[in-house]
Amino acid sequence: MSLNVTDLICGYGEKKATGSISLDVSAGEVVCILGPNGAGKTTFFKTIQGFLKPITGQVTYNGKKIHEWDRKKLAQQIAYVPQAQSQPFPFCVKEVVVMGRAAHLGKFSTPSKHDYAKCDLIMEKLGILHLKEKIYTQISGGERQLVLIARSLAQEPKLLLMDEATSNLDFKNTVRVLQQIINMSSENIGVIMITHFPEHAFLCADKAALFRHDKTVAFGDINEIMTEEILTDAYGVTVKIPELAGFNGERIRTCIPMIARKS
Amino acid sequence: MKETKTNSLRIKILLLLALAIIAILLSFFLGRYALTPYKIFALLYEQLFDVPANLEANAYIVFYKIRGPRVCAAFLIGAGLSLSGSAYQGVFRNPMVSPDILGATAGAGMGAAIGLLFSLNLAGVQALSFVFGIIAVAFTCGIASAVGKRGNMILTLVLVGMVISALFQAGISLIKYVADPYSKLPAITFWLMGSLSSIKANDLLIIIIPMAIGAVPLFLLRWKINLLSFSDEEAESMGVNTTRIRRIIIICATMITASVVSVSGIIGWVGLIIPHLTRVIVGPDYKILLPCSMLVGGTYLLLVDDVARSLMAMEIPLGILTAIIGGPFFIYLLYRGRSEWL
Repeated sequence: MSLNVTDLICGYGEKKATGSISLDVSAGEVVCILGPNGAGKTTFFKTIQGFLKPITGQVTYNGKKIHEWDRKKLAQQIAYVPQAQSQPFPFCVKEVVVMGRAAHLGKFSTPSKHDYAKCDLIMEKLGILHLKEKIYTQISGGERQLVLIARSLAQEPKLLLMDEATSNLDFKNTVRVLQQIINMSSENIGVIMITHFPEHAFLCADKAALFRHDKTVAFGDINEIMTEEILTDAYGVTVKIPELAGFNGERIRTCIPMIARKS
Repeated sequence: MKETKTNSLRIKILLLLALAIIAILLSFFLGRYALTPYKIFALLYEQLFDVPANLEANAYIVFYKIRGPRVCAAFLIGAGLSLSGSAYQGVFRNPMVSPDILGATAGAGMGAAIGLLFSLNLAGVQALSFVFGIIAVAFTCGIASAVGKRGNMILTLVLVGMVISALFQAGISLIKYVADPYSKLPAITFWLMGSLSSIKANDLLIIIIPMAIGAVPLFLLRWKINLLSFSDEEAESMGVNTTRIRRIIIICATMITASVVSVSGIIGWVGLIIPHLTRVIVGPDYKILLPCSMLVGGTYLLLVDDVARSLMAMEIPLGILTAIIGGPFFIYLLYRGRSEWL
């Protein structure tokens, strides 16, 4: 699996939403996309999935231009986890998860027992098997997000795109999702995730792409991109990146904004 | 837990089926000429096993020429409206959508009004009505894709559909205005209220053929309609060609609606409330919802038609009854409805 983005400028029609972006993702890599609101992160996501035409530059997946891919074939490779939105019909969770199997089903087929069994396994792995018979519209926002992740895994993708998948989650579920991302990467699935939390990049990512307000995009190793200087500049907020030792003595870094408090 | 759930679903489906059969038999009994259960079984037995039933001629006429076609038509029309209503609701991602949303009904109404104005025979009126129904939806889709942006296709379709419906309604009003108030205006008005009183055996073919052609793709694609209820980009990222599938469903559902309306006149509310009611009973999975809503819709319209023809000495137009029942039911749905619908 390899996704290559070269000199890509994304936008709607003629209107540019990003500067020139070049990055690549290969199997098992986790790339974090960071940046303030309005910097074109979501537009970039739409472009690398082929929903928007690039203004210039190109996106290729396994060497083939993204918009030349057949939708269904692409769905067997790349899965997308959107932010959970409202849903008009009260589907139960297992029905939502099994929708991910559409990528592997024939034109007129419906999911088989085998497909449902696969989905059960995925839900169990994500720790949401108990939600199986619940109504999707009635569970909490965080649970819904986990269901959407399960649905995307039901596609058995090689690359997972997550659009702020953790922004609705409570602390525990956030950790659960980050752990899942690490697990997936160890199963050789590539992950590109948009997040508003720089510390998530430190926890699970190998590389980072920083979308700035002036439309420039910096891409590189976590250590190159995630420095106090660069992040402070990009967010317009002074940050510190302290380092501490984990239980096994490994170095863990995090990102903390400097806020003036009453003394 | 899982087993009992699938079992209870199976029981529900069987109950719906049993209810439909009971309603059909009941509808044969009802009417001025009493077809007793014995006579019905004798006639069916004769049909199936070639054993002569030895009944008087009237029994045959009522069974084959009058009540039989009418019962079949009522069931088919209810099933057709519910089928296309369910499909439309899936495509538009909204349970408050009915088959007339894109102008099929208004178009068919205007076609029929023109046919009646020019005193065409019944077949001519039906054909014109069917064609106009299709034309109205074609207009809606054509204009919507000309003005619409990709992301907002659904909203554009609904809004253009409203405009097209209003235009065709204006056309109907104009025709009524110029029509001869003693002979033609009543015919047009009566047609627009919807009725099955003049149904004949060969009308059934007019419903069955387009309905079968439309229903087959809907049935084959029905599970995929589930995926459309998420956003287009989500559905596409799961490998569904949303543009193509939406086009197929709209064409099929429109064909069914137009053919049904061309025979029965305008029967409102069925395509809106029946899919909804069925969803409450069997859940939203289109794999089960689509066939079940046909069963429920057929049963419902059959029973309403029974009331229409036997409650009073004079027939009550079917469209009036479905509105009287459908309106309050819709209010009830709004009352207990969730905010996401609106």
